[in-house]
Amino acid sequence: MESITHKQSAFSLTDKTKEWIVFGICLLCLALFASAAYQKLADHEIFYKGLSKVSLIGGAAIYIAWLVPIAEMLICLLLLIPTTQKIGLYSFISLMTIFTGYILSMLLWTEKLPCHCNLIIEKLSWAEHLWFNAGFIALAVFALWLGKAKELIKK
Amino acid sequence: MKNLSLNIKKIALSLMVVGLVVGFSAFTSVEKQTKLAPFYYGFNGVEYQLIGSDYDPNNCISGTERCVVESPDDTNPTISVSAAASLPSPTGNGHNKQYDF
Repeated sequence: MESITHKQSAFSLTDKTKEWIVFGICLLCLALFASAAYQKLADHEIFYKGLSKVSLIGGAAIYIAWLVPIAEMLICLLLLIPTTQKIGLYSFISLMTIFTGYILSMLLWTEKLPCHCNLIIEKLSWAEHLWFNAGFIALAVFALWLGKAKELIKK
Repeated sequence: MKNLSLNIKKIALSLMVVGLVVGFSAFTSVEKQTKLAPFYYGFNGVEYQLIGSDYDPNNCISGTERCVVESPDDTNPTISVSAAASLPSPTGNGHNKQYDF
């Protein structure tokens, strides 16, 4: 009789570990958006003026200046509740992709780059900001992949 | 029951992180406001060139004696209180006030 043995890799993670890694990534994303939303609301006029200087979106600056922090807060709420973390991560990736596209378009077509960033991010150049965003998108995708394998994230 | 308890722990931890981040942001935004100041551009006869963030009338090109200040908000250069007090009244309003010396 043939027996099948499963050889476990030294680097394989238990479900519990994966769950906490996914949760840690959600916390990071939550922290990023919470601080960003707070800063945009606390210095709302600065944020609005910065947006209004951007030729592509300047006309809609007044709406975008409210829409962005509200969207960030909603995503924070989704990431905060364990049962909605999956949709929260998808929303996080979507919004971060839009932000990254915005940064990319600014780098390509705008000579003078405004900055309405916060915390450590204000120390970054726009190109570094692009990599920073890409890193967070990759982290969120990794969390979704890790959670999906064992359905650690609730649907 | 075990899951519920774990979820409550996760929510509590998340709320703590949000509180810490917002508290830290609030602390740093007070610092930031004191740093906001304009950029100064001098006219060299052809174009306006960035002088810097510290106002000095000697940096304005003589002859044309014209400087432009571009207000700020999106960058954080500094200007001393005494330099700011010695600024003349600008012509024009808003973000692109112009100073003639």
